[in-house]
Amino acid sequence: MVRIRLTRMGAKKRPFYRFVVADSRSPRDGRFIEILGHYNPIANPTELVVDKEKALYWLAQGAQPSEPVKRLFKKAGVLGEAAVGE
Amino acid sequence: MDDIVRMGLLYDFYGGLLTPKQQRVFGYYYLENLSLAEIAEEEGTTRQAVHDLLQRTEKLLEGWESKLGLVARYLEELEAVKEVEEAVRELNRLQPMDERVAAGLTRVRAALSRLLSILELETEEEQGSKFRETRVNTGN
Repeated sequence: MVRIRLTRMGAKKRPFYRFVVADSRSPRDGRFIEILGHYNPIANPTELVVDKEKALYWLAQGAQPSEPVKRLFKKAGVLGEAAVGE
Repeated sequence: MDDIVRMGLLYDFYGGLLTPKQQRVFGYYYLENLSLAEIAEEEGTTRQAVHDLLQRTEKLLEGWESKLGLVARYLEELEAVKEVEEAVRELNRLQPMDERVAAGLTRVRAALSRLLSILELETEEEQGSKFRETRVNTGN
């Protein structure tokens, strides 16, 4: 299965996150198929950038977003309320 | 603040107090965003066991934070330092005509830079450009 994760990058105490598309069969090897955007929660205002087209493409392919990804995609306007509720 | 972000910060401050296993599983879940099932497979245990371990670990971290408050304090410091930084940046834009004002501003910037490194804070300003001396605007 292909998943969309929010992986943490950056340094200690200075986090930023990346939305990545990755295969769930080898979760620990750190490889990913594509980067869909980033999220910087410490910036003021919070920075949230998602490539909507790519994200919708992967969701249509059946990629499963994790809970935090769902929440942030909703915030970024990539996912509608209905799609998130499932 | 987002749960995942908050847990990540708690981990930055107190993670060293956790056992290696707690650190590993917590990292899989909150830093790499693996699912419970994926972690269970990785650890050779059950989804329920991973869930329980995560709950206990979160409780430990929250307990330390409620006693020590390092994360809350860090976020407040970050906020305050950003304000100072913004004010200094604005002053800097004014291009002082007076030697003493320029020297004073240079000192303020040096002090701010030092404060940032003591507090282990690094804001956008610091990442981009290293500290530069403020000079008097001579008009050329």
